[in-house]
Amino acid sequence: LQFGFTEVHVKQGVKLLTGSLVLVTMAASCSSDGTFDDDSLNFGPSAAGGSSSGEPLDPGEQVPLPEPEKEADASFRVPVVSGRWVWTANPTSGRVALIDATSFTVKTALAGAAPTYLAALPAPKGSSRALVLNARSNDATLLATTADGEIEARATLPVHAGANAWATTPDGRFAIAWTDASAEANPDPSQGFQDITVLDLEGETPSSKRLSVGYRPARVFMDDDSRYAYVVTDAGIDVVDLKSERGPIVEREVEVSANPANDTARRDVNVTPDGAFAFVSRDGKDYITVVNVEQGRFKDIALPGVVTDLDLSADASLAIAIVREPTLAADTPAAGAGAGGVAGQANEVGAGEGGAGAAAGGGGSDAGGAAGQHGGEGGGDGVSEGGAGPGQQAPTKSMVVLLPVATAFDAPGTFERVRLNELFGSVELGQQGETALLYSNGVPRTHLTLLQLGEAAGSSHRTLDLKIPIFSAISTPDGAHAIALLEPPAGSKLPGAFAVVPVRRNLPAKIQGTKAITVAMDAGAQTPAMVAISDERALVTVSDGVGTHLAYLARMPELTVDAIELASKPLPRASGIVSEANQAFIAQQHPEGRITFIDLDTNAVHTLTGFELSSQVSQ
Amino acid sequence: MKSPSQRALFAPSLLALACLSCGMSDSETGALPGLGNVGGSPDGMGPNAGGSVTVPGTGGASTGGAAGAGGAIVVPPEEELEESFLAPVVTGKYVFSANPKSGRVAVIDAETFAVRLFNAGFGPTYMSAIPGGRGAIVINDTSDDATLFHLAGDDVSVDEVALPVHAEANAWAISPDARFALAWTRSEPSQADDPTSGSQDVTVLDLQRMTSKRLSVGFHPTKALVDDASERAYVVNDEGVSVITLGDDPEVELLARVSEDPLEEAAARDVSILPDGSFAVVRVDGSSLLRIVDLSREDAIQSFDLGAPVTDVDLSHDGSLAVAALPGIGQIALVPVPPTGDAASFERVSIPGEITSSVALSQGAELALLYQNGADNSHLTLLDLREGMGRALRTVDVKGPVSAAFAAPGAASAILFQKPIRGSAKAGLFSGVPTLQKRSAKIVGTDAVPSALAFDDQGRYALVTVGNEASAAHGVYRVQLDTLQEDYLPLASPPATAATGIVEEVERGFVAQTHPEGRITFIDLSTARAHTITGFELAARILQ
Repeated sequence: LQFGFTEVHVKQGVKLLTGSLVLVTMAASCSSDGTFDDDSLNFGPSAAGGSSSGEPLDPGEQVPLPEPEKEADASFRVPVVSGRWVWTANPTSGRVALIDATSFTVKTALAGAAPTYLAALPAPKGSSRALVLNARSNDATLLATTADGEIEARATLPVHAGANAWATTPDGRFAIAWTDASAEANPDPSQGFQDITVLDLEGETPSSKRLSVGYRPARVFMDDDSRYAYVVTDAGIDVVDLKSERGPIVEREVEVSANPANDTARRDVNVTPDGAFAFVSRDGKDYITVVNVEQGRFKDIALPGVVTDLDLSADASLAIAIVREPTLAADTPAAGAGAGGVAGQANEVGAGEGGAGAAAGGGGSDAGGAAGQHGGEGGGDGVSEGGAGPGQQAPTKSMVVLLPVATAFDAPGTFERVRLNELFGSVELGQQGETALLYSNGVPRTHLTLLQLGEAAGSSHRTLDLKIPIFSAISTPDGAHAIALLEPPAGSKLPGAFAVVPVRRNLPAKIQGTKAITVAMDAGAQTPAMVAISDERALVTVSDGVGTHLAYLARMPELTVDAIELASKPLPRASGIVSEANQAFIAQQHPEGRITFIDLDTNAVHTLTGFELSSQVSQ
Repeated sequence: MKSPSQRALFAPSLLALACLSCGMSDSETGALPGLGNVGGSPDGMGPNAGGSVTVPGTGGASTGGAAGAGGAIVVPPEEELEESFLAPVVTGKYVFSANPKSGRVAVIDAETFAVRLFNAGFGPTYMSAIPGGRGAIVINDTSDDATLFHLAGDDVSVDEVALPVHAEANAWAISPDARFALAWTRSEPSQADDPTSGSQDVTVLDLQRMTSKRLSVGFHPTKALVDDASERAYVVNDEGVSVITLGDDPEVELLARVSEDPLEEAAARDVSILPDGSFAVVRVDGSSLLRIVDLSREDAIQSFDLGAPVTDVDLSHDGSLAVAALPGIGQIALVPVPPTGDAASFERVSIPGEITSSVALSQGAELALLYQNGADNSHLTLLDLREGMGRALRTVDVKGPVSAAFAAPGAASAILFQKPIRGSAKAGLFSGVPTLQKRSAKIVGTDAVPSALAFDDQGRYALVTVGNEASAAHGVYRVQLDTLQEDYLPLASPPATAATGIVEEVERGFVAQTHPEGRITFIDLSTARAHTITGFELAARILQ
């Protein structure tokens, strides 16, 4: 997604599992007395024990498969920062505020009814532009700063009812208001959220046009040329031509399945920045689909096991699939990383000629079937991964499959496999894409594996034990560090934790307990942590929703963490880093508006309260 | 089965009433329903036909509908629902609306919203447009006569002569040349077992000579139409098809039998008649035989065994092609009419993995919409019938079970009426489906059951009315068919039965509603702005 700036990231931990599920799976992997005690990080023996694999079962005994991985990335929203300014919207008052993070001056303006969803737009140096969706008046207001620093509402354009998300082109000319179904609570099945509204912001008279796309849009990508938008839906990928002779139109819909009417597995779709290719994974399936978007064709690529995550490198040169390798009972001695698990013991880089042949190579009784039908083009290379079937154990190790994006469609059987003696299901690639962060949240695991990418790296890796099960991880923009949100086991003294992880240097991670949860077991009732991150700072904000509200400012490469108390509850998705002003900020719940700035060098706190009433109190 | 004449029953809605506003073709006018029934009276379906929406049940399961592999498949019987979605009468830019209680007919200018009232006979109820924009005619249900309204430019006048019609007439078939109007009595299924309710009278009105003549046709008429040449009328009934010669002295020429078994259950038959009246295409529930009947003779039946029970047949608008659904063997048969060879010569199209027991053809037969409504099935299969397209198939999942399908003029899109998706709190559901492009259907949950549909004649817009007198919510969706943008406009009162239409001349749609003094809402098709007129029966000047 293009938001017009790149230096600030925010992550937010949302746990989608029910509590019982988590406890059950934790019990299977950790001893019951493994606890997280206090700030000094005294862990019970089991928690430190790493990725225990459990006792092997008798042949033929069925074991529960791991929970699917939770896709946390969708919850990580970038806050609305433009240059040195922060835009905030208050749906209750109908006002939008623009705060200069260097001088802490505030300007406010009225938008429509219930301004709620903001997006920053590219603007000339020294100025700022933003769009806000007015949830109640079903329109959007285009806002910009004037020469004297005031806010000007330049246009109000109608949008469809229920819009709750933005996608903007890199050049800032077009914005698409769409409805993210995942943000809606218990939507009716007849609510397809199929409307999108394309706003053309160019010229003196901006315009808007409603279009219809497939059922339940999940993601919207804009291409680098600001010409096409790609809307990922249940049906496939809708290609929106933003500059057709008839104005914005849905040019076509690209199917990603040979039988779309019956392809009901939950999908994750990634589109390359140039819009040329898309890569699709499906829950519980042992293949991925590569789509040539321009040609409207796709091919399934069989992989040696169930694909739990799929991501694209930042430069879109690589698609990286995570495959959990099923293990036969007879193979169990090889399973497990062992206590501590600091480094993987096995690192096999495959020859990469496999495809379907590799998947069908033997092993479990069902191994060949699912993979074989997807018809990879390469021949078998003798890899003997088992498929799901009787006699099979729960997976204990995973494989990273590296597919070159440029050739994946034409040569779908050619890919590189990196086998690690670790169990993981999720991958996070930083903006630099030089290191893959590998972890699991479908099965509670404390290990974070850092896999070097690129030819020079030779797929070397190291594994860190973060002591507490990992929920999500995010790299700093320069890829030198990462923040991992952790989920302490029940009974731990502190309810939340995160880790500051040196990625480029072989140093231990800093584990920090927090006084409120970082991972929400129940997203509706709990407040997950927000993470804002730059190359040298990260701000992790937590709240119990009652009286404990803290922001933890981590410094990198020092790996020090300072806790800063907040006066009120943070608003969701409302923290960020204003690099130009060297400030972090957290917007908070307050009738007249409240936002706290934290100097990234001195930790000096500056809280603005009541700026919406123009009776600004600065503390 | 939907013959051209049957199609005309909902042509005013499906084809945007263009025919009504600019002169209907023969067959279309032949079976036009009664006029608007703004006053809440029933339409041409008969006094008790009432319910505007006959989509069966709600809350049904949404199932994938994939067929099992191999072997014949027994599928539940299909339901013919398209005919229930009717529209009122438009002539030129005027909407004619009859009120049986007041005995008046309102003529509303859809451009200026000016209303004029005219007295008709007693109980004016069943109305039809006269082709060529020449006016309208209404059956006065109480006085058993018909009143003719002439339209010339902006002038509307009432003919002084009220032509007698038989008692209980409730439907019209009008000749394309506007000379003849056939008043007949549509039998309801509830009458099937009543031997005293044969409804065998028909009345032929000569609108040039202003004469009327009663005739008797077969038992239980179910449909009637006039051929393209305005020379004959055809009345489908239990015994077969009664052929009436029009002209100066109308008479029943012959009864063309459609079955060799005189005891065959007539209710199990679907009879479609070609627009030129030359042949009828007949299917029988549960039978694999498709019959082609020469209507110029009494006993001229050809039977073709298609290999599996024929669950539905749709006839192209020009009558040259019949498309038969054979879900038992997963096929569609394309039958040229009249056939030029035996059954083996008919082109077959296999529909792999789907159960398609209903067929709805687009107006130009470019496209066949294939679906199932005898059981809950959320799949719609699109069969491209255009030359050079290789009979391309595409199946889309529209989430909720399909009840009825309608192709828009031009066949670029379609509207489906559906049951709600399983687990949905919505009362109704419809979809807009791009048919010639590979794009997703637009799924729209509604707070009331869709009850009526109208397309404009260019296929750019559709109106979908939801709700009826029994529902708490009522409104109308303006659907822009190229983008599938839909805009909901709530209605202040329940829509009347079969009272949604489009006035092509001024690019406005309308929904007449039940209201003691009359209420109609016009919708500008391009802007989706609504304009409601209420109480026109009281406020308007009565013109004699």
